[in-house]
Amino acid sequence: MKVFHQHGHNFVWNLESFTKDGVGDGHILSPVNIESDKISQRMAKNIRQVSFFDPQFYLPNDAAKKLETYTFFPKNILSSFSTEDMIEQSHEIAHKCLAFQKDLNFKYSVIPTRYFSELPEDALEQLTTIFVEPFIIEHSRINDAPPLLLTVIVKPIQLENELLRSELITWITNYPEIKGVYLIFDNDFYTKQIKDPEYLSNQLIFIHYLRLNGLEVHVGYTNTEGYLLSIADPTSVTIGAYENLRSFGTTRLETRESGTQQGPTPRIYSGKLFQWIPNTSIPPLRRLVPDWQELFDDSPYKEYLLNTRLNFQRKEIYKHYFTVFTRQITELPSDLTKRTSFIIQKIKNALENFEKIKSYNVLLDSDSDGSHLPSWHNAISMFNAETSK
Amino acid sequence: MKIFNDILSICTDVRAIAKGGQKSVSSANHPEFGKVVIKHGEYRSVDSIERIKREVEILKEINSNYYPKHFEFIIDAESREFLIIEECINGNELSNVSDQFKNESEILDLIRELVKGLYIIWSKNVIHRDIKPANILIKPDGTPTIIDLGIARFLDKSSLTRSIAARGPATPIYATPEQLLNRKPMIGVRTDFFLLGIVALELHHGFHPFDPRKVGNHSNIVDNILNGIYLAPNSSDDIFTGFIEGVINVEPFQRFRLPQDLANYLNIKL
Amino acid sequence: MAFKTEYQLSKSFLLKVNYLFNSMMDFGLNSQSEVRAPGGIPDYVIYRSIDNTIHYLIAIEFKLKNWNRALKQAFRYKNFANEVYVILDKDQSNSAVDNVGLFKKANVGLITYDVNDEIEVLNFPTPDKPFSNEFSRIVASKINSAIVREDEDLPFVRTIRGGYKLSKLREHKMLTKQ
Repeated sequence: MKVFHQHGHNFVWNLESFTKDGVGDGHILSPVNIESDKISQRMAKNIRQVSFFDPQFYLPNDAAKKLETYTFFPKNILSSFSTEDMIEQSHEIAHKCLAFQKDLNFKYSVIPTRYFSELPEDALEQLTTIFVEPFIIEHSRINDAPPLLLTVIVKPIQLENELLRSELITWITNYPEIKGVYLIFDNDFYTKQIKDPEYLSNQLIFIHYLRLNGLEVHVGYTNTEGYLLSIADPTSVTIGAYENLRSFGTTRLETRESGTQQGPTPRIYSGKLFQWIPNTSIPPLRRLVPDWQELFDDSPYKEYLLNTRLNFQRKEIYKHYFTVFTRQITELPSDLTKRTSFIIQKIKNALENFEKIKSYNVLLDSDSDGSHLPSWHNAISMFNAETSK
Repeated sequence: MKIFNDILSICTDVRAIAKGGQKSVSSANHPEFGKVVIKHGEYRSVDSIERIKREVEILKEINSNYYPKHFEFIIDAESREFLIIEECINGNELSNVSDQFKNESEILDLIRELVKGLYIIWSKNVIHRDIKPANILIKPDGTPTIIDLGIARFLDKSSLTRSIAARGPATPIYATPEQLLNRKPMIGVRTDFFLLGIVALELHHGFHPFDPRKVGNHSNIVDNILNGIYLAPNSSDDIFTGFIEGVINVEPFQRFRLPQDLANYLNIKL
Repeated sequence: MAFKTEYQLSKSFLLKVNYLFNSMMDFGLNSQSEVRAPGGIPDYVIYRSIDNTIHYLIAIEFKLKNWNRALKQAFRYKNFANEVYVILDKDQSNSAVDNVGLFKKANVGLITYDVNDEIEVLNFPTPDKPFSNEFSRIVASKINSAIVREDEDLPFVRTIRGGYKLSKLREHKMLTKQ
């Protein structure tokens, strides 16, 4: 299983982590954050060859500035965003988008999608007509175009409702031309970790059936639950710096990415806790818990992070996370049965660590206290029950 | 009826073969094409005339012993009529010669032939959608011809769910769950796989595999199809059993995915 | 009858103890509301200042009923305070009272207050040095009357002696059970 860097603001940190720390297997580029003519300057060919490009057509009529530099972006071609107009220009858009990806030597040719805030009844028919069929046809006309990945945004209702889920999985797997899926789970959880075991289990089931159908599954915008999702054997998960790259939302695609949002609390990732710990929890840990540093994994950045005044813009925070999380993924057993037992044990270890913290009377807030871990455990049980039917 | 009457007016020896709810079938002598079968019907609505026209062009180009030659395929969007003129095949409907396919080996040989024939249209992204014994003619040499290609996109199988009372609970129905529920994004080659499974299993059992009287419930064929309740094969032939399990599944994504996957399983060279 | 908003609770409580603060001016006590601190904004801080240097700091969190959340918030304030308190609406505090043990373990004070001006202290925390020098500096620099020099230790971080006179406050009849 691979780990891809999910690019956003300050993607230079991802590139440094990849080239200098040897972390990750490739990158997913974000056109919102880089002009089209800068890509080959900023990313060497050998890096592009193991990476792919996310066209980010999600909101075609409401786009960030840098998207204007991409000739195939719908806003630059269409006079209106009516379905009829999009269908009419769909082949031109497809051809330009595919040629762009091929010319830059990316590993895959990604078929874009658009984002629906409310899912219309004919969503899949629209996507078929506007994107999937034109891209498949144009792909066949380009010599040596890299294999196709289909972007799919999965809304919560498409996981909960069995018929909609079945329809979506069937639709995705209907196309022999498509090698894999770039999967994005859209959700509106307000907590920093997903705590709904049914949702997590449904994600696992979804990935599982796609894999059974022989497709590559690259899950984008994942947070720590990417580790849990490995139980369903996806081809890759992602590591993103800021929180908005570790869960999917369209607001960052609408506004200029400044990275200077309202100064969130800096958090340090602990693989032993499967948790991002706010730096405000470090002082009580230091004071009250013996060997507290053992709660954090080793990395070239650990000492610095645990002993320095931080703000959320420090690259060391994210490079530490990239290093630690990727190591966790590479240590997973390749056998899926062993992997499940391995992960269950790691969850237990993490829960014990939280019990230890609690026993020393350190209180953590609900976004830091490991309260998502029982849901992980339950999700695994629910997934096993479903797939052994 | 205009296009139908126009065609009939130039043919001779016109005989009605069948008339169903949505189409009529006649045989005739056509001045240009010789002995033909004419299928005519009216449709309520279709999703994409453009797509149908594209498929019609593909079908006209097919030149294979697995299909009757398509001579004409006319769609009148105004009057919502369709008309197909195809070669008249000398053969018997499968249901009338089912004793030629009693054991699993014979059934699988037939399925292999059908897969080879269907692959010709699958590879062009055309789905048959109406595979059933009445649409499989067995020629004197024992090889199958698949007919009614092109018709299915005008038929609305979801209406079957509403017509159970009129038809009777055990009336043989050849439809997949996704057709009965009218879930268009789910219709693909795997729809045809499921239908092949029903044909194979019906030959094996000698009755429709979803028949409630045989399955042992008080339901009806439509509901049994929707819920995946059927009589499994009574067979020690693992390949046959595996084929049925790989195609008769309520969820299309749990069937064989691609024609090549089915071909590999059945050891067919496509 | 319960308070309708946290604002009502806090305003009413502070009015009640206002005269207490006035009489405690001799102790160099001052207060400030909504000080922006790392990890949260305490509703109120009370501090003892000598020559513009903070010698002792208490942080207070008011809540109507979500005591668990208040407890965790107040615990975070221990990064920069010598004592922290949660003040709850007495009418909605039964569950908190049942869990006063958690407050004791976390060394967080618990006080209930009702619309009839009755104050009850369920737990006085043990004075302690703040967990973090860094966060204490940040908070101290946001106190209006305080001067924070980079090269100097902060007294309230170095020692709890600055709060010794507050032990007398604890004995005040308003804060002790009748």
